[in-house]
Amino acid sequence: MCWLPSRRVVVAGLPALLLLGCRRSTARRAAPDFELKDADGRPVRLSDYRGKVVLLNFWATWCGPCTVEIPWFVEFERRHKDQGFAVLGISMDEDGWEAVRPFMSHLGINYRVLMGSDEVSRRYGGVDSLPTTFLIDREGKVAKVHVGLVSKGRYENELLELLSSAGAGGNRSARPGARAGRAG
Amino acid sequence: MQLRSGYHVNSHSPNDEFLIPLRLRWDEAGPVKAVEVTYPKPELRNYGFSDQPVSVFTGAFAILTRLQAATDAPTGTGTLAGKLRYQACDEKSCLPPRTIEVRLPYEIR
Repeated sequence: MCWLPSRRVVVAGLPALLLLGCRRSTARRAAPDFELKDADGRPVRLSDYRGKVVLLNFWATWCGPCTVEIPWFVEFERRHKDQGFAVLGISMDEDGWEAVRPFMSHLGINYRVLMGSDEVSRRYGGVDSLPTTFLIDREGKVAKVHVGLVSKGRYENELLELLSSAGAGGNRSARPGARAGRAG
Repeated sequence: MQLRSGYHVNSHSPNDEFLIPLRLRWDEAGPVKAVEVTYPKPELRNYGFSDQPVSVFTGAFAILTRLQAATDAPTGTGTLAGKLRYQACDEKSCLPPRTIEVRLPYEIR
């Protein structure tokens, strides 16, 4: 609830006070856009996915906890992709696709995987610990951040909430002309 | 070596092809060479992220190196340089692999 302590508040200060007092502390920030290449060498931008709920997962082949989550994400992609949902994996492997391609086959990854960079890591606050996962709403804003392994149920509840959130538009797909949605 | 509580590094012989092993490599230039590097016996630990025990080192441990001086090496002190590569995780997350410089002082008598 927004509450003003006194009617004697000077007019010039009122807008700032209203902003401070009424702005939700959980205000979402725009997820930084990026352009990275997928396994086929095609450029992919996060903004291509505007209108979709995106699970953006920073991971690496050498990260044990990451390998627990990946099968969940494969399942989420399969079950929810028609509801305007996409998983994007960003690999932070130093050895590039040479290390990542066999791993993708090994785990049957059905979503798009991109090769990460220090620049993208920096834009996302300096991703150091893996896995780090961002849940991004249909407006391209960060709704949740998870550093480290969390439960499958928690992810599922959060993404279902985002998929059904007010104004989300149910089966909305990406904007016309967007290149989103192709699996890995 | 001393690891922070709760963390482990993969051993020199991890039991998963995708894991990054602990590796100590010494420079080969100079009058002293490392002829053998001996790692401790790894622990096989169970973690929630793996359905099989993981070969790791935790806490404090030592890596031993046997050195050999060249027959014509001058007496006196020196330093052997090397690189240690490791990759650490805890139960829930992993840190990127790192390679750090290590230096070992020695004396030839």
